[in-house]
Amino acid sequence: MPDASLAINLTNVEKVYRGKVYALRGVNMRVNRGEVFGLLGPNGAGKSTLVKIMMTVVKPTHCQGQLLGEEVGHKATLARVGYLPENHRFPRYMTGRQILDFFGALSQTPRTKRKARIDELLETVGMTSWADKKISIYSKGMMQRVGLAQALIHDPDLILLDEPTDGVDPVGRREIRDVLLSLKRKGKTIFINSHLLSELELICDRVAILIGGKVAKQGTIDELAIARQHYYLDLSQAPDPAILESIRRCLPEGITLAANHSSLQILTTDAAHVQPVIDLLRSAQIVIKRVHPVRPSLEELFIEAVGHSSAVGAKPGAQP
Amino acid sequence: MNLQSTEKSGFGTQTGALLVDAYRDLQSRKLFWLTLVLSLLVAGIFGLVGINENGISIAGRTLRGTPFNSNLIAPAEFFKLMYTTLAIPVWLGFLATALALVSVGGLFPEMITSGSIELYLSRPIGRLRLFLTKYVFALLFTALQVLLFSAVSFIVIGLRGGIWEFRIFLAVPLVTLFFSYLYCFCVLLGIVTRSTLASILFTVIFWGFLYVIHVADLQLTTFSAAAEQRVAHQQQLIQMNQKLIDQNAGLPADRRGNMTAFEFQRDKQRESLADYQQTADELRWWQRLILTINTPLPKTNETISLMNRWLISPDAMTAVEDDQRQRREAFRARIGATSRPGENVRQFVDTAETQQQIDEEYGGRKVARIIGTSLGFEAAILGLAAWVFCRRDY
Repeated sequence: MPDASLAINLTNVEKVYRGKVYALRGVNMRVNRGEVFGLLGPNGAGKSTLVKIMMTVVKPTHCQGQLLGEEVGHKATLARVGYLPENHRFPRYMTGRQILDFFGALSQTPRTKRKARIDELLETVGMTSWADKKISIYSKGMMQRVGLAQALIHDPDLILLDEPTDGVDPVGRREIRDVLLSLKRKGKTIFINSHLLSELELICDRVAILIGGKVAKQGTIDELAIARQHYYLDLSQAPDPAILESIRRCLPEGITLAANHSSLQILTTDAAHVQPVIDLLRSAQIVIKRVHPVRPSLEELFIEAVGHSSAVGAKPGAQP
Repeated sequence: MNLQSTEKSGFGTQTGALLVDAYRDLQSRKLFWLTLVLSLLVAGIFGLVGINENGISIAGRTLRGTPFNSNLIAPAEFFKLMYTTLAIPVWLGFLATALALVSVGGLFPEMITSGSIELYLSRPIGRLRLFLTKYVFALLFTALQVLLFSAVSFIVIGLRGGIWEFRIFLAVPLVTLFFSYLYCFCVLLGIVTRSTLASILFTVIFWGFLYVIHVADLQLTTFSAAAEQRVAHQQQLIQMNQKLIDQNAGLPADRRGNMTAFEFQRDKQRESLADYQQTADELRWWQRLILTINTPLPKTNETISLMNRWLISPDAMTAVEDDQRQRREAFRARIGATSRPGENVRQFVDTAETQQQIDEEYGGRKVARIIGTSLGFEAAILGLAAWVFCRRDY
């Protein structure tokens, strides 16, 4: 029975290419309706293959799952899904407007609705003045903008974007981000596959890290970061070993301390745990210059996950 | 009811979009328009050709000594003959087809390029429908070219030949059919190799192979018939000599003549007959082999030749052929060559009996067989291309 709260519900998705090349090795993934979900992973992790399976471009070796409540592969459901492929190539003889009209029609959008949406979307992605020019003269950033517009032309409930800001300048990236956030406010589900982790961090509610065809981590950024969150204390001088020993003793069990010259890192998210440490340092006449909580960035989490997976031998394409 | 009508309108919206896309794609290719303009030009040039009792005229100037004149063939038949023997096989069936192949050969390889195919397959449209729609539209634009060419030819024949021959438009389905035999092969190669150049190149090679098979079939049919006519002729000669010998033997002994020369001739003829029969059998074996090889292949030339069969009256053809034969015999007489069939098979090719046998054998092949086996080939190749297209990961 499909879960109505899920836009994407994938269980045990496998893809083995000829020559026993394992692209996906049992991916489980759930994306809630109305959230922005980010898929990260190194090159060859299987991110694009996973998206292509959902869009029926690649046939899975094994797949159980639903897209908007319908089985993956159900063609009619794709009328409610928008997709921007990576390195897309639009027919070069078309103008931006014609592209939106053509792909809108292929998504079964009636002419009147298309007409109304085309101008609106061209305005949204900042391409109105280029709308009637052949795309052969567009820059890569312009292509991405038109690509995003064509993914939205049929007003889909679920939007899958593969590297949407690839080749887009910082201003354009910000505009695209704003578009995505406004779509989220309208209740659309957005699934982004990107290398730009800082971009994802700004807009994603939840992320999954795919490594070697498997989901290494999945959850909100806070959930993924919690094990690495800590308090950072910047001191005027390095505390002597006796004071460090006293600090360790005053910390609750399980909370670890890392000292590095004149800085301390206390692995906790609870500010109360830090208070006795501050008292101890002050009584020892050590000046505390700064105290602040530190949450690891998505990039740090990603690098850590990739590093860990490499250590356990999960390499893309290899046999399990 | 609502869902059904939505689905129907969605179907129409998608099909309409693909049609417009195919049109825009072809419109962007200069070659498509060049072919169209050249087609109209070629059809217009026919308007400059005329026929009168002295011969063929071009732009009002009569060329004497040409094989046709209006006493031999009616102007209407002449124009139809020109249309079916020159315009269709040479222009539509060769040059325009080659240009059309280059025009539409890239449709599938370009669609399945990485970055492009994802945009098509991620829509609520089945792969098979997408494939077939693209294929049919490519053929539709070829049909459009033939239609325009036929329309201009129809007007030219009407104005110059004085006959408004609607059967000229049979060229539209026939030439489209002929083109589809090659295009399905081009599509298969395009999908397998993903290369426009490779698909067009190998299609042209395949077309050449079909032409070689066609020529081999035609030549072997001709020479088999000629060889069989030579055997029949030889048998007649033997019978004639035998009859004389028998008649002589039936005479009273005192009235009998010396038949040694006739007997010698008959015996030599019998020896030759065995050789002739062997040659005829061998030629017939090869002809059947080529026919067998040709059976599952598309009959490009035979399909185009159907226009000739349907448009030109056999009487007109016979009159022209007889006249040409008489001219050849007169020419041979002038240069001192014998006009009677001799020992060489080639000399029997031109006889009325051989030509009749060829007409019966080659021209008598059923339309259903020609088109049916060709369509069978197309269905198999297209099915394979569709299977690869539908099953492949992109």
